[in-house]
Amino acid sequence: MNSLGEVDGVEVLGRGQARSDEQGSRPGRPSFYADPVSWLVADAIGQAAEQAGTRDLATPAQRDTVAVITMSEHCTLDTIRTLAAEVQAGRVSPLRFAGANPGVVSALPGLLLGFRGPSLTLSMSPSDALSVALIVARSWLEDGHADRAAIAAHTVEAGVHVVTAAVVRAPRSTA
Amino acid sequence: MSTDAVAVTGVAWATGLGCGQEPVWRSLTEGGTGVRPVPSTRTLRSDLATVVPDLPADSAPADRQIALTARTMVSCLQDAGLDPGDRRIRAVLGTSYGAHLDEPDTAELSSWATRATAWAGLQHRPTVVTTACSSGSDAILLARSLIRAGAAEICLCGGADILTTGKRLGHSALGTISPDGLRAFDISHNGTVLGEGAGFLVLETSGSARRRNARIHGYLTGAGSANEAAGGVAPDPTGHSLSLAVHRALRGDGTTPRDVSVINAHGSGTPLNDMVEATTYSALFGESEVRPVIFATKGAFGHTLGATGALEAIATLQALRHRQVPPITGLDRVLPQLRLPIAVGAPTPIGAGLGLSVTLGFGGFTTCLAFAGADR
Repeated sequence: MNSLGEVDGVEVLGRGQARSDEQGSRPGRPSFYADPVSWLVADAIGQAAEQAGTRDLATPAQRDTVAVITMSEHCTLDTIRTLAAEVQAGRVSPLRFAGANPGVVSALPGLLLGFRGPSLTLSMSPSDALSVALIVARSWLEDGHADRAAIAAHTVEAGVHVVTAAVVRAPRSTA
Repeated sequence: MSTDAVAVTGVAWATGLGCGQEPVWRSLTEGGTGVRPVPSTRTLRSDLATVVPDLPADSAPADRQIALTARTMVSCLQDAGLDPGDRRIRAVLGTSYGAHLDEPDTAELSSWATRATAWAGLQHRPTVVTTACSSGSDAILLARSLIRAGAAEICLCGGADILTTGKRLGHSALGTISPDGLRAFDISHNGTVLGEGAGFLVLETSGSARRRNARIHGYLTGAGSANEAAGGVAPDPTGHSLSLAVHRALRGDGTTPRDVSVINAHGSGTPLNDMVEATTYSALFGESEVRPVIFATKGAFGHTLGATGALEAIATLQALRHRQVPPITGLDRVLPQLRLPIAVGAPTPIGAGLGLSVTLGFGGFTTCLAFAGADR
């Protein structure tokens, strides 16, 4: 993701990063669970959105046009493995079942920040997925389905979860 | 025809009603259903489900997921007259949980897709999408973007999801499973029925299709999505995001709601989903001069989760081709909030126009695909 600004076709407006070894305690929500990676993605996108001036958009119509794409080979695997053990025992937690959906890594940032643009989770390594993510983001920007797109990349490095994110838009014409 | 239109030159599905393109459609129009008791050693809200015939029940879940995916992809390429070794083909695959809840040793979420495409003989690593019950639709949406951007000439895209104990337990715990059957848009609806299936489409540029004299099933004229940003498992009750997705899908071809003749709804049979769809479609299309006909296939196929968007896309193309839709299994007394024609009890004719295929996924993933028939 560090090279995102070098890719033709999008202008980077803001960047963010979140790491599992730097996370403080998080206020919980009753009757709501989402895999920890999705909270990291939301943190990183929140930072990027802040820098891009996209975090506190004034109107619902503006929030309707912020897209979210997350790339992760891992997504919610930690919660999925916990659930898999529960499945063997014959009883699963409904909250964890809902929060283990791998797509939630793109859904939670939208839920927290109110973004209702198109959203997509690519469950593959960011190195393989980035070119595809950019193509999709550009198509949404060009077609008017989104004004801005938040793109997040999640990796696991030596047991530490790292999410980098950028908020991009279509390049403004200089003519 | 807009230059944006992408041709559909191959389709294949594997469902609880079988795998043949026309036999399954015939069975649908005759009111057939693949839903039946599927025993489990676990305590479930209901034992009703669908399974794909000829898919070995005793294989490991991961092997079933891969076999279902690979077999259906190969069938789709055969239908399109393509060799799996053709290097122009890029695969885009979607699933929800696949076999992951039942395979504690899962190390990578993309490995099922990588193994399936290798088994099918494809030459490139796949792109893998996961957006819950919109995975199959979003795989098609993404493939359209790749083709329009010139990043791929031909895409094999869709979704596959097997029935597993983990998914049955999870949906039982959530309370989304009906205890006695799926009755989409019926006033007695009380939940969904899970199923397994796979659906794949070959998409390519109209130029590519012409050059190789491919048979065209129809055109993907638009694709739109929106996140509901409303909650984990329940839809946005206002229908705003659903409305956004529909408008975005129609924008691609310069069309409007008045051009739509048929809608293949998500129709999951859960009261909240059905209500959001009923009220939103009625608001969007209720004033049209010629109102679209609503139908849904989950009563026959079961809710196949990550596959459902692709199966419903194929059913939409079949509806446009045959100019009729099958009756909705389990529908008798229609929700009064739905103010559009709907297929009750018998096949229902549809007029000329576009077909929409809509999915609503956990996490708020709402996707709408717009298709035109081959004769457009």
